[in-house]
Amino acid sequence: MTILLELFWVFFMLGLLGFGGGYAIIPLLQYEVVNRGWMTLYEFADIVAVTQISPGPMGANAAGYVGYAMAGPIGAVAAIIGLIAPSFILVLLVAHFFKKFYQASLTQSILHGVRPVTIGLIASAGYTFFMMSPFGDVRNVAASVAIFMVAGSLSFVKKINPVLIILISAILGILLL
Amino acid sequence: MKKNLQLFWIFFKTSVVTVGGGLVMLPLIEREVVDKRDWISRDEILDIFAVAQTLPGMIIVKVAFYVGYKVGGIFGSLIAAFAVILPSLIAIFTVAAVLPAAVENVYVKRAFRGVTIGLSAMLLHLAFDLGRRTIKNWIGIVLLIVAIVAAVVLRINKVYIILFGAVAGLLIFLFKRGKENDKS
Repeated sequence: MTILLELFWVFFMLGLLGFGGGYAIIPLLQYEVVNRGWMTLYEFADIVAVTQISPGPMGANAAGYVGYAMAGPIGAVAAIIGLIAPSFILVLLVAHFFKKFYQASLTQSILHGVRPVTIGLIASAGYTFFMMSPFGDVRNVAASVAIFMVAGSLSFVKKINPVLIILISAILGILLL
Repeated sequence: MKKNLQLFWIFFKTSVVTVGGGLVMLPLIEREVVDKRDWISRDEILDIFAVAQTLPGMIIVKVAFYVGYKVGGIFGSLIAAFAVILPSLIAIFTVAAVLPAAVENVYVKRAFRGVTIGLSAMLLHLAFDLGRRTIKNWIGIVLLIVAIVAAVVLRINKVYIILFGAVAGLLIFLFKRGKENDKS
């Protein structure tokens, strides 16, 4: 029971602070799961990998997999409900009461500060994930850099579908790492 | 009741096709609830999308709550959001049970390490792209650098880093408004 409440609370907090949805939630979640001793960075990275090729919103997938790992199916449900509860409350408040008073300037001002910070956190998550590569020997370093370059140029230059980039990275991982 | 079933179906369908997330589902929803069914006016759906993008949380979930509420009240709101997370739940219940055993396999493990590297490139590209489009002044650049240093070097709790950004945004807003008041 305690773990369900803890899951709900952690994901409620992430739902309240995740400005920008799934990709903004990943760095926050990474800190929480590792620091609470819920899982290792590698177990978390595996979950994020799966969320990339799962249907449904990425944030809900990440919450569900973490919740499931901690407390089974009920844990998955507790985590997802926690994550979307703040959206429910805020959307209903805006829809019902604040439509006329909705202070765009105030929320915009918060976003002006939160946006650059969130972008910084997304970049730092990218850095952390790259540093998890197997750097055991020269061959592994070369393979990791090669996968990074391929995925980066596909994303940057070609702007192809992220799901395809993930699949190509997986195949390169099997072949090279 | 018929409306609730339709709500369910629209959001379930949209959620299934949004693999990996993104803003691609907004036009799909607009077509269903504005063009096909006339439940919501064009102006209102644009307001809903704008609100959904400023509030925290997942965009498709917020749009579901909002559109569901407009069409079918609280119950409609919950139905639409349930439809959005149902594909996630089905996938999780199927995959999560076998995941720990699967990653023990050496090929699966290598594939996952490859994906982690690919993901790192995608996240850095996303950060670069968002930064280029939304960071317009030196204050934004300072906040970005502070966040990276705080997260990577100092390893500060990221919740505090976000809160720091929110407070900084508010203070800058109040400071600017104070200056404007002084002028007038």
